[in-house]
Amino acid sequence: MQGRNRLADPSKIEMYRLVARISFALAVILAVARAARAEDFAIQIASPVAAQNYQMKRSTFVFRTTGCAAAVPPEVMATAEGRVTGQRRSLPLKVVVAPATGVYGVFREWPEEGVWIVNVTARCASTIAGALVATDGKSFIRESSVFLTHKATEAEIEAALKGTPRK
Amino acid sequence: MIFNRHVTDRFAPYLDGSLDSRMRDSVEAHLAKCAECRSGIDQVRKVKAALQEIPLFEAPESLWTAIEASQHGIGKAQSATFPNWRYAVAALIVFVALLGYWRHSRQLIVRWEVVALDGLPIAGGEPIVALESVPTGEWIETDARSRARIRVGEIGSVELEPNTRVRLMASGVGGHRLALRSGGISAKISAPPRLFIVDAPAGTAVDLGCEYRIHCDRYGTGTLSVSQGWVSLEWLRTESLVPAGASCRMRAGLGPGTPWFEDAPTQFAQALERFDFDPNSALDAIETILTYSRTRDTLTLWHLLSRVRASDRPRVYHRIVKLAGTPAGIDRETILNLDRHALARWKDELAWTW
Repeated sequence: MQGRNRLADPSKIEMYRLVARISFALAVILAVARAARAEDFAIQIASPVAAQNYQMKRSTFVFRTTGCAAAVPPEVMATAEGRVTGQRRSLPLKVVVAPATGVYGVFREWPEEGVWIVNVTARCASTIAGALVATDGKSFIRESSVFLTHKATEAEIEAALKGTPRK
Repeated sequence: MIFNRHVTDRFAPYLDGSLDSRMRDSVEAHLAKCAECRSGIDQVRKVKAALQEIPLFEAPESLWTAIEASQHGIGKAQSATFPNWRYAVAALIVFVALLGYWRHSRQLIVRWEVVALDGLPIAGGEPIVALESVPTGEWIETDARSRARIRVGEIGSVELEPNTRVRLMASGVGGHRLALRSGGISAKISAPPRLFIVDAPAGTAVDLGCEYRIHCDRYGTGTLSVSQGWVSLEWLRTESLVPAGASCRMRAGLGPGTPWFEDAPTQFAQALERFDFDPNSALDAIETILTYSRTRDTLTLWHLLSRVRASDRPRVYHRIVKLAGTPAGIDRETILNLDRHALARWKDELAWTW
């Protein structure tokens, strides 16, 4: 009886409701902030001319990250993902740092035959951004490239390979 | 962690080509990431090139006799603080250096390697059979059936198309310069900006690290097309910055037009030609250019900001904003007032959409 009385105490019920509301509001704010931060951190790709440096002119494309407020620069990595005569292949790529701060170049290190895309992953603190950059024989294809808020999955890579126009 | 260590101690063997492949790769990887070392190696390369251009001369017999005589007399001249033979050697070094500098500045010893690719190109009035060393100041000419290739120091090469006339203007550590009178050339240059220049009748193409083709008739009408990097096409106070994938027309007496991407809609390209070279239809042309512009055509629109009438400038500005937005810190007024720093910053940002 005593416990039931305690729960039935209107002032305590009101207090519990208030705590629940505040907790819910905080959770929503944190979720929104996290989502907003994840949206802000992204990879941007461009033609080599954007690097404003002659040493990058032969790169397939250059990229930079946006929205990373961390004290240390974001970590970046890239792999070439391809399908050659029906077989899936994956090659680690060297990401070349351009003299301009925060600009990176990807040079062609994959074979000419087959269809290839470049899987770029960047990490800023605990946030990750990804990009699947479609390529043709000479350059990148902006319209066929995909930008992600996570590291690309195998299914996304497969889909991107299917969506990349053949040379 | 190799990038934390500079490679200054390997500059000389790297430039001499005496490093093994592993070490060479390591130095190149470091240079790709280290602006300080790139600047350093450029300076070493320039000094090396300058030293190579200083001629060596046989010392006159009388000088050696004098030096030997001075050395024999060293015992007698122990009390002297600075022996005479040292003055003689110092004077010799200064003399050789001055002579080398004089010859270098007169460009008497600078020669260009020219190779015939097809037919019989002409250099200085003589046919080039295979490889010729042609002095600065000479003309290279190809007819309808001949082609030639010119080596541009250590930084690249230029191919002359048939029916082309080019003059070798200057070559040295400060840069290389050609004059294109008529015809077409394709340049492949890998060097820091502004080391290779081509003077055409209606514009000067300044290499900003690139590959490009430029052709023109004898009056100067022609086109520059860039396949890699950037070229600055300059004429009086006009500068057209042409990136890879873009072209820029030139007209005799009018200089370069506005650069545009070669995949732009036909209506856009035609309207741009009218704007650049037909003053009577420039007003109509602006409307068409704005209507047909795509995001990457902000290259053209950015150039137009400083070329349209002040009353048309806001329309061009708003079209760029609509297509590509504005970065933080760039505002309407600074752009409309053609603030150079703001314009340059905006161009660098817009390049990420080209």
